[in-house]
Order: sequence, then structure tokens, then C-alpha cells
Amino acid sequence: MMDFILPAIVIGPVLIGLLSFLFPRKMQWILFFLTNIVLLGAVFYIRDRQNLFFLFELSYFPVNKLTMGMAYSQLGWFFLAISTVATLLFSAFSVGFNDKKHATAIAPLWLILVGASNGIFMAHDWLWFFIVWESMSWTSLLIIGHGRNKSFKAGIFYYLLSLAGTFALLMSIWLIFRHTGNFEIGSGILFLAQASVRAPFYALVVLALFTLAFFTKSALFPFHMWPSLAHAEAPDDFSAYLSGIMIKYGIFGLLLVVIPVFAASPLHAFKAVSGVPLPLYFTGWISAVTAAWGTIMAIFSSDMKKLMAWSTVANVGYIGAALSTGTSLGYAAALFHTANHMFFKGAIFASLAAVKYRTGEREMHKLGGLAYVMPVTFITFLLGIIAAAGIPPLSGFASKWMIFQALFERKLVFQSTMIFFASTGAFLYLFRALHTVFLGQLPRRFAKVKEVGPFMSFSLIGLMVLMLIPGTAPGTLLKPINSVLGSMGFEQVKTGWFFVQGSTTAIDGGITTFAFVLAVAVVFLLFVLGGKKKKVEMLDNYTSGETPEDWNLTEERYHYGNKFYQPIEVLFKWVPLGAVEEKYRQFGNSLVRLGNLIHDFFQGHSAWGWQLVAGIALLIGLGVM
Amino acid sequence: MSNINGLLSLKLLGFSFLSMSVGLLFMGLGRKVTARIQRRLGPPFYQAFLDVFKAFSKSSITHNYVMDLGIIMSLGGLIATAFFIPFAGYAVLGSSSIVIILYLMSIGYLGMAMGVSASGNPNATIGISRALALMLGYEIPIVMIVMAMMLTYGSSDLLTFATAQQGGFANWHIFKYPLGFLAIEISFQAMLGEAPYDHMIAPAEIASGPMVELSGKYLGIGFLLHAVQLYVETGLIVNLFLGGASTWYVFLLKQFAVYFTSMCINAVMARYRIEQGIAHLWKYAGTLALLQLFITRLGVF
Amino acid sequence: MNQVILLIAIPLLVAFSMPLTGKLFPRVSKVIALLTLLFEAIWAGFILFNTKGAVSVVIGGWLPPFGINLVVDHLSGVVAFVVSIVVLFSIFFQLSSGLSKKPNFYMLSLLLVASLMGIIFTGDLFNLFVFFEIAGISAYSLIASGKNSNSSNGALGYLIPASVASVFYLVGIALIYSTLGTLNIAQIASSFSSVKPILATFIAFSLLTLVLLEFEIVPFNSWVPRAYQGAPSSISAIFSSGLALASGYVMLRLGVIVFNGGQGGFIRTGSFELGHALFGIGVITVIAGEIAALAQKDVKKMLAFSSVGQMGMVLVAFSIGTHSSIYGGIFALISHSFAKLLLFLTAGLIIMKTGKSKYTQWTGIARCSPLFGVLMLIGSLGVIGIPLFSGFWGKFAIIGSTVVLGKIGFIATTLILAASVVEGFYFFRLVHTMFETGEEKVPKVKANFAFWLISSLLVAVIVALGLRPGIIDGRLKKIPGELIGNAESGYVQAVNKQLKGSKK
Repeated sequence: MMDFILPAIVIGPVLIGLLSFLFPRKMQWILFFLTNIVLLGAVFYIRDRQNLFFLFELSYFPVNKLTMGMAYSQLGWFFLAISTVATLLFSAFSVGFNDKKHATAIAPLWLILVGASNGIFMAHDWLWFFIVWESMSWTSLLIIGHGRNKSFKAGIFYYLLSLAGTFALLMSIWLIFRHTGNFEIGSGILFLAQASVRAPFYALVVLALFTLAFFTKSALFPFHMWPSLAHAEAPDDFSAYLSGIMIKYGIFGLLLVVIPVFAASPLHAFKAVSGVPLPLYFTGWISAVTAAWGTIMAIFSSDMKKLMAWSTVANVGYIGAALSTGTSLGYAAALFHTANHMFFKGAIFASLAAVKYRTGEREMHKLGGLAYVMPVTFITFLLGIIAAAGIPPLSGFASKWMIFQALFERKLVFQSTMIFFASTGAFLYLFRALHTVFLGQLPRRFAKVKEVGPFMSFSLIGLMVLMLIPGTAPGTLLKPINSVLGSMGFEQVKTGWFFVQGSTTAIDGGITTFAFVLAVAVVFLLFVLGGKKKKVEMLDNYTSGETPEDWNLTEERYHYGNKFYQPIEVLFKWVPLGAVEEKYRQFGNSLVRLGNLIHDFFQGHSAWGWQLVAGIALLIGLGVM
Repeated sequence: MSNINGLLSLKLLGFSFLSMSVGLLFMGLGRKVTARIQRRLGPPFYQAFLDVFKAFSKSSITHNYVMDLGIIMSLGGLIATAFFIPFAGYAVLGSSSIVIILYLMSIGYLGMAMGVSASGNPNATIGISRALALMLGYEIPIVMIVMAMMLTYGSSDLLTFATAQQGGFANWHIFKYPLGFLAIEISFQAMLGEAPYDHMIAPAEIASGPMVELSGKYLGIGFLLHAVQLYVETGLIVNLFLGGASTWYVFLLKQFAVYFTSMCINAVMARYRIEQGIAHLWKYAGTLALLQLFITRLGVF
Repeated sequence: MNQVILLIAIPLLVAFSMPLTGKLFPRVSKVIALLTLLFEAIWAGFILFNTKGAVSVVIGGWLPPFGINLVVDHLSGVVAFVVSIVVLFSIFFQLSSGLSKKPNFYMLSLLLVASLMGIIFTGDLFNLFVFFEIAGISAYSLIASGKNSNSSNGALGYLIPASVASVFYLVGIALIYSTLGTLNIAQIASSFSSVKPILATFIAFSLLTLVLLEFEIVPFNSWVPRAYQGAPSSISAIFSSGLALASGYVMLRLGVIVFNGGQGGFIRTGSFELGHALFGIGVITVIAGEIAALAQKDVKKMLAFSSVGQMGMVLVAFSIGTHSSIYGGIFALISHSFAKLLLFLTAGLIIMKTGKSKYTQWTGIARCSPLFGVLMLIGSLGVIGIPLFSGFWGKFAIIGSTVVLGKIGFIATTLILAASVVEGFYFFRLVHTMFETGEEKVPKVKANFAFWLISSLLVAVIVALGLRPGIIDGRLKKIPGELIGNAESGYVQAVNKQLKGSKK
């Protein structure tokens, strides 16, 4: 049934955003927060209302009877729900973050972006999808740039790749339209599934275009380098939104069209490797490579935001690999990890933003010891990296475990090896971030740093809760995911509130948490029963009998933060890291040179003469071809 | 899966002490072995117990709450891991998923890393960074071998691997996966932090690395960490390659056999440089494991 | 519909009276010129809204082929309306900007608008030539009236190639007259199939050389950068949004109606297909234009090359010749006119007030005067073809037509879209630079009421068309029907009906 609530969640934020251009900055952020609360209510109001839609007709000559608009889908609702919850917490953080000293002007644009984002998830047809997708792209470009030249360079790199992908999407939409006469997503999937048998090359081309579009948006190889620029240079509170939510749009797109096509096409349509259709096997390897590459780049990063951006790239690699297994376990794992990553990466970036807010510093080796003065931020970050490393009993473990189960189901051991490598490497760079920022020695200039304010703390604590619950009780997220799988016609995952059945074994989040808590209790008992402890100050350390004052030792110099993994960097000297970025940059430069060449072509005074001749020759030549 | 109740709690409590005791016993015996290799008498086999009790009885220093939190979390995590290792064919929690074990072990690492880094001494952090770098080296071969076994049995439960080896020597994986066993042996040395991969401790280089600021009960917990780590990791190898066991004394014997080999190697070898260490792990252990994986994969095809 | 002639006659009359009034009452004469333009726009609108189908109006009672007729159909109505608005806004901008021009400037603009109207409405090839020449003369002088060093350069660079091309055009006219005996477009269309293919192709080449030159197609457009840079901003705006639009119109008119190989496709000669030739050269124009714009630092040159690229895309659309592609091309042309007008006027204002014409010198302008940044943003979004802005619907239809044309179409689409990516880059680069926080003090740019009025109207149009293409969809969708089909097209039938009707 037709309901205005669907367009309301899109148009509402957009209008409020446009309106808020007129308000002072603090008001804008409060408005942003309030809008998100309302959105959360709306999202839960439309939950499970399967027959909701909002369609309207557009008179447009090239398309006969063009109907477009929004429609409810279980998949869309899942993405909508988790992104709205996360955005609400981020907006709470932003209210606190954007005080007089730090405020940016991005709130109105962010509101418009949220509206567009909601539109993406509830799209009924490709034309509507395309419109909100493009709107999302350019508004996010302006936010990332936020008036700084360096940020703009980072943002434009992202935008150009995104634009290339969007145009690929444009082409694929028309290629489908030519045979179905409409832009509906469902009929497009049906057509492609049939075409995979009758005209496999055509189907593959269209699927490749879709995949290109979504890979550029989600930063999979070879489009994996833009997050390290864009996420790092974006405004600090917006990085959480970028890394947590926006990077998942490509995953949504893949689940929207590419995966259903492979699921709906007959078994013999594509050659299969290890039970996986060849194109998906290929994307699986790309995802595994992305995961490994992102991890290595993260290990080498010394800027904390860049490091976390590379971590996001690696995590998207995990999700892509899970999707590419072609099993319902894999789809569930991908969705689960999408949600978990949203929360824990959001928590990590929020904590880093809190650190930057209080200290003004972004280079990790210039920080240190902040755990002692910012406990809430520290615990959030700690839980964030435990979840990111996939350590039980936090949420990250359950989803990573499921990803491996999906890979094992298809016996994809070499991809699994790369993912394990990425997972182990994750532990490395996550600990580095934890230590260099929060542990070690506290520089004297930061000794007076305080914990962040109430809004930001509320947001951090909320994110902590979201990381803890799905770890102990995976069912809280897996049950909605199961209804998504069911609505798409896939087999559901066997799961209870705490218990999940995989392909080679089962886990129970409740038992794991219980075991951990009990063990900690035992140790705590031992600890308490042990001897007295005396608190000493930080610089009072074992220094082999030397007196630090002799060498003017300060906290900054005593903190081990620089070149943390130098042995590994030495090992990887021969790997051409940054090669792909270099190629893109060189290509851009050669385009500019070509442009200058073309311009010079116009400068000569008698150029027109032979230009006329050349023109006619060109016409003749092209006509005959 | 087991149900959560009082009986389970008691069992878990028992296993906590079992893992700690077994580990401490091994530590003491290990020192005896090393001593004998170096042609001296060595301390009594129960020395480790004495050391731990003494450590706990002394007063200690702490730098901040993170140190306390980290140390407690790490031993807690490691003991929780020990719950998942099947002891003589008995998995107390009903689950022995290898993936859980491999990941839960990381809490032990992370907790300790966090705790000692919070002490503020760069020696500790250097030790940790080396240990983590080394981890990148040895985890990969282990994972590859585990996956090879998973391909064969279609399960990732340690108990399944153990029971599959029942019924005689010839069934042991050490003979079925010889390359894998060699790879694991090399990685195991690194996992334990024994020479030639004792970069984490590196006594002469970085003043015992992570242990540098630990005193009193903290040092005691550090000892217990090593002890439980011994229990967990030898238990892992026994279940994976040496056929598990149906009785507790055979299991302990096999565990000690593994540890004995490790201590022998430790006594006679010097330390690699850290990047050499990682490179060698990949080159030797990694290649062997990869080969094993290939062979198994093709076989299972 | 004799009133159509007013669109050409009134500006001509006022223009001829201006040298006298200009000497006597300079200020008043400028206002009169502006009012004339206002009348033009209103009258063109009135004619457009009253158009229900193609109507032919004979001038002076002499029937073709001896006399000339003016044809009003949806295409000419829409294009004339847009052109009149473009010229009105540009000249209003110039008049109110404070940089005074002599009354002769306004006289020339009136001449220009009259000639453009003539180009649009005429039904006779030679008449078309005459009006092209008049437009050319006004254009050269207007370019040269710019106050910078490139002005005379630009004017000459336009004058010489255009004159040469006109000679080719005359040759074509001569050939047509000798073979078909008429110069009336509709009558030529009905009988063009009887001309020998090789001769037909040669005629096409001769005629199209001039048209392609005016339409800014590579490689005929060597005059574009210097002319745009040298001319005052209002004139560059008229060029991009008016003259190019009119040339596109001529391209479409001649191309589809005259050089019609049936069903909207172009003529063939042996293995030579005119449609393919134009398609290919259009793609080359798109690529060359956008890449050249990328390398530009001067804003006016950047916008000039951007126009080149857009015209290339429109040519690609026209050369395909299907209903959807023609619709898309026209939509794109119209949207481009409005968006480019906004860009040129805003840029012109900024250049006038700050004296800086390179975008690298514009750092931070939008920090003090954010609305200028917003205007440039909206104009850019309109040109690039981002959804929710007018340019999208045109581009969408064009891509839809090109991508389904088999392998060549697919490759061409990829190239055009790649060029669009480049386009996105340099426009956003410009817009963002304006918003960046620079180190130097930035001058505050103030605009007067006229500018705000014009720009808000343009923004309203761009956004309205973007949100609801239906506003002009109703009129545009009738256009392909009136063009395609040789003797069956609405255009030709209207003219024939009038001829029959008057042969009493």
C-alpha cells in the first residue's frame, strides 16, 4: 500500500538540511541529532511492513509510462535500521564535538546525505536508485572537502572513482531497459538470470558493470586506495559515518542485484570452481587480496585515521569474500559483519575524534598515555579494537567466524589463508594504534587533558553496548538477518539467541562469554589475594640503573611510538605498495598534459586552415569506418 | 553445548587450576631439562610453584588501572582458552572449535600487551611489537595446517581431530600430515617464545621485554600466563597430531613430550634477528604448510 | 502567425535607429534596446505557447521557391524562446553591471538576436546563409568590444575561418539550386532522395562545414577559446547558450530533414555513412573538449571548452537520429543553455569585480560571499548532468540511446562517460576552490539586484526542470515527430499544406 512515510524519511532530512543552512552552527547540529531520533522512530514504525511502497509517474518521453519511487524490502530495511541506529549515535557525538572551536559547517549537507542514504535502501527501481546514489556522492564530496585543499584532493579522488562507477551503473541500467522496457529492480534480476543462459556474454557485461559500480563505492581492489585519503582527511566526526556506513553502499548494491542474479540463474550457466560460479570466485579472490593489501598498508601507517581507513578496506575485503562464496551462510556472514563493522569502526573513529578533539593531534607517535586521563574514550577504543580483531566474546568474532565458516563450506582454503593473514595482521596494527595513542607515556603537554563531554560520552557508551551484545547473543542480529535471507529466497542460518550453527562447527556466544567472565573472576580472586600494590608514577621505570634526568628524558621521548613495526617494513621493502595510487596519479597528469596539447592545437593563428581540411578528412574517414 | 549452571562453574574452576598447575609443573621440569643439557643439576621440578607463591606473597608496584586491567584480562582470556582444549578427550564446555581457540588466545596476548604497555617502559612495548610481528609469521602456517585437517574431516572441532586418530600409532596425524607436523613444530617454537624465536623476552636485549615492570603478584600472573600458555599450546599439538589420549596421564605425558622437544631446541639454539625470524617462519614453516595444504586440497577434490 | 516576423523585424528596426538615438540620448537608447529584448522574450514565449503543430508563414505573399517562408513548429518555438531569454538576461546583466558599453554594443546585440531569430525561423537555405552572415558580423564586433588583449585576436580568429566556411556553404547552395531548382528546406527535403548519392554527400559536406564550425565541433572550433576569452562575459554567455544552441538547431534541422536517409538516419553513399561520421566526430569533440577544459586555469576558457564538450555530446545524439536521442539532445541543449548562462554570468561578475580570471586566484571567494559558490555549484551540477538538476534528463536519454548501439555504441558511451568524469573533476575543483580557506584576504564581491534576479530565475529553471522534466516534456516530445520521416515529417507537411492552400 502507498504510504507517505517512505518518501518522508528521504525528503524530510533533505528539507530540514536545506532549512538548516539558515541557522547558526550549534543549532544545526542539534537539529541533526533530533532528526535522527525521529528517523529511528520512523524506521521501527515501518519494520516488517512488506507491502509498503511509494510510486509516482514521471512524464519523460524516452520511457513510456515511467513509474519510479520507493518500495519496502527486507534487505533494505536491515541496512536502513543499522545505519539509522549508528547515525543517531554519531549525531549525538557530533553535538558534543562541534563546539565553538571545532565546529564545521557540514551539518546541513550531512542531513541531505542521510536522506539520500535512506532513499538508496528503499529504492523500488534503478532510476530512483541512481538519482539518490548520485546525490549521495556529490554531497559527500563536499563534506569531505569541507573547505580544505588537502581534504579536497582526497575527496575528489574518491569522487572520481565513485563517478566512474556510477556511470557504469548508468550504462547497465539502460542495457537492461533495452530488453525489459522498465527500470524495475526485480524484473532486471529476472532478465539477467535468463540471459545468463541465452546470452551469457551480455549478462556478464551487465553484471561486470554493476560490479564495477559497487566495487568503486566499497573500495575493493583496484579501487581500494581512496578511503585512506578520504576517510582520513574528512572532518573527524564524519569519518565515522564514512567508514562505518557509506562504504557499505556497494555491499548493499551487490546484494541487491549481483548476488540474486547468481542465485537465480541455473546451475550450469556459469562454470564453477569449488562450487562457486567463476565470476564470484574471481570477486572472492579480489576481496581476499583487498583484505591482505589493506592490512599491510595499515601496518605501515603512522597516521591513526589512515590506519583505520585501511582497516576498513580490509574489512570490506572480508565482507566481499563472504558474499562471493555464494552460500546463504556467506550472505548472512556478510550482513552480520556489515553491521558489526559499522558499530566497531564507528566506535573507533569516534574515540579517535574524541582524542583529536582534546589534543588536536593526529600523528600517533606524538600522542600517548591518554588512557590514564580519558578512560571512557579508552575503553570504547579498546572494545572497538577487540571487536575489530575478531576476538571473542565481542561482536567481531561472531561475524568473522561466520565468514570463515562460509569459506570452509566451499573449501576455499587459499582465500581463507589470506583472510587469516589479514586477521592476524589486524591484531598488529590495532594494537599499535591502541598503544601509541592510549598507552605508554603521557606527554607533559597533555597532562591536563580531560575526558570528553556528556553527549560524546553517551555516544561512546552506546557504541560499546552495540559491540558487546551481538558478541554474546549473535541472535539479536542474526534473527533479522534470517528474515532478510528468507525474503530473498535463501536458506536461513540455524541460530538461536546465543547459538549459531556453521558449516564445520557451532558456537555459543553465551557460553563463551560465561567462560571468559568466570576465568576473569578466578584471576581477579587470585589478584586480590595477592600482596599489596603501590601506585608509582609513569616515569618511575626500570632504566637499568641509569638516572633519566641525566639525559633530559621527557615523556615524549620515552614513549615508544615511532616506526612501530620496522622489522615488517624491512621485510616488505620489495612490495610495490602505493603502486596503484601512483598509476592513477600518473594517468591524471598525462590527461592534463593531453589537455594542454589540445589547447595548443587551438592557439596557432593559421591553424584554422588545416583544421578545416583535417575536419573534412576526419568526417570522410569516420563515415567509411 | 553444555548448559550454564553451578556444576559447569565448578568444572571450569577445576580446569582453571588444572591448566595452571600443569603449566607450572612443566615449567619446573623444563628448567630441569635445560639444566641437564647444560650439565648442571638445576632447580627442583616444583620450582615454578615456589616462584609463583613467592611472587604472590610480595608487594608490587603498579602504574595505573590499565596495567591491572590488562594483566587480569590476559590471564582470564588464556584460562578461558584452556577451557576449550579437550583434555584427554573431554571438552568441558562441550565445544572445542579451533577457530575459537585461535582467536581467544589473542585475548591473552592483547591483555598482556595492553597491561605492560601501560607500564610506560619502552622495553616492554618493544618486546610486544616484536612478539606481534612474529605472530604474523607463525600464525599463518598453523592456520594452513588446521585448514588442511578441516578439509579432511569437514569439521573444525579439535575433539573431532583427536578422536579421528584413535586406534593405533599409524592413525596419528604426525604420520598422515608429516609436512604439516614439521611446519607446526617450527611455528610452535615461535608460539612459545623459545629460542630461536625468543624475541619477546630477549633477556639480554630488552630486559625481559614485557616482564620488565612486573613485580609481585603481577609477575606471578605473568608466570601463570606462561604456564597456561604451555598447557594450551601443548594441548593443541597433542590433539592435532599426537592422537589426543583417553586417559589423563597419557595426555600429560604426550604434552610433556612436546614441551621436552621444545626445551631441547631452546637450550642449544641462539636467537634469530626479528626480521630473519619472521622471514624464516614464512620460508620454512610457511612453505611446508602450504605444500601440505596443497596436497590435502588436491586429495579432497 | 504573421506575428512571427515581428521577432525579426522589431529588433532590426530598433537596431537601425540606435546610431541616431545613441548619439542623442545614450542612456535611454540602451534602455530601449533592453526593452526590445524583453519584448522579444515575451513574444517568443507567446508564440511558443500558441504552437500546436508546424505552421508555415509566407513572407510578402511570394510563395517558395521564389519567396521565403518562416516555419513555426515546436522545435523552432522552443529554441527561439530559449535564445531570446538568454540574450535578454545577458544584456540585462551587462547593462546593470556598471561596466558601461557604448550604445553601439547594444545595437550589435539587437542585430545578433534578430539574426538568430532569423536563423531559427527561416525555411529557406539562402535566407539562412544571410542570417548567418549577419550573426557573424555582429559576433565579430561584439567579441572585439571586449577590453582585454585577446579580443581582437579572438574576433579575427572567428572571422576568417567562418568566412571560408561560408564560401563552402555557398557552393553547397549553388549545387542544390542547380540540381533541385529550389532552396526551400521543406521542398528540398521532399526531393532530396532524387539527388545522386555522391553529389548529396558533397552537398552535405559543404553545408555542414559552416554549421559544424558554428556548433563548435572539433576540429572546426579553433576559434572558440580565444573568442570566448576575449569577449565580454555576457557575449561569451550568448555564444555558448545562444549561438551554439542555434547552430545545434540548424544541425538538427538540416541533418534530419534534409540529409535524411530515412527513419531519422543520415544519408549513405556507398560505404560512407554521414551519420557514422558525425557520431564519430561528436565523440572526439566530447573527449577533446573535456580534456582541454581539465588543463585550463582560466575560468572562461574552461567554460568554453566545456561548451565544446557538451556540443559534441549533442551532436552524437542528433547523429543517431532516433526519437529518444533527438529528444535527449534537445533537452541537453536547452538545459545547457540555462546552466552555462548561469555559470558565465556568475564568473563574469566575479572577474569584473576582482579582476582575477584564473580559478586558482578565486580561493575563498565563497567564504565571504557563499551565494556565488552556490550559484557556480548549481550551474556545474546542471552542466555535468547530476540528477535533480536539468542536465540529467537530457544526458540520461542520450546515454540510453548510445549504449544500445552494439559494440561501437558501447565503446563510445564509455568514452563519453569517461569524459564526463573529467568534467565532474574540473567543475568541482572550481567550486571547491571557491569555498576553500586560503591565507590571503579575500575581497567581498557584491552584486546588484539585476544579477540576483537573473540568477534566481535561472536557478529556479535548472532545479524545476531537474525535478520535473514534465514541464517541457510535453512540448519536446512532439519534436521528433515533426522532424523525422522526410516527406512525412510534420515540418514538410506543414509547408506543403500551405503551398497547396495558397495555390488557389
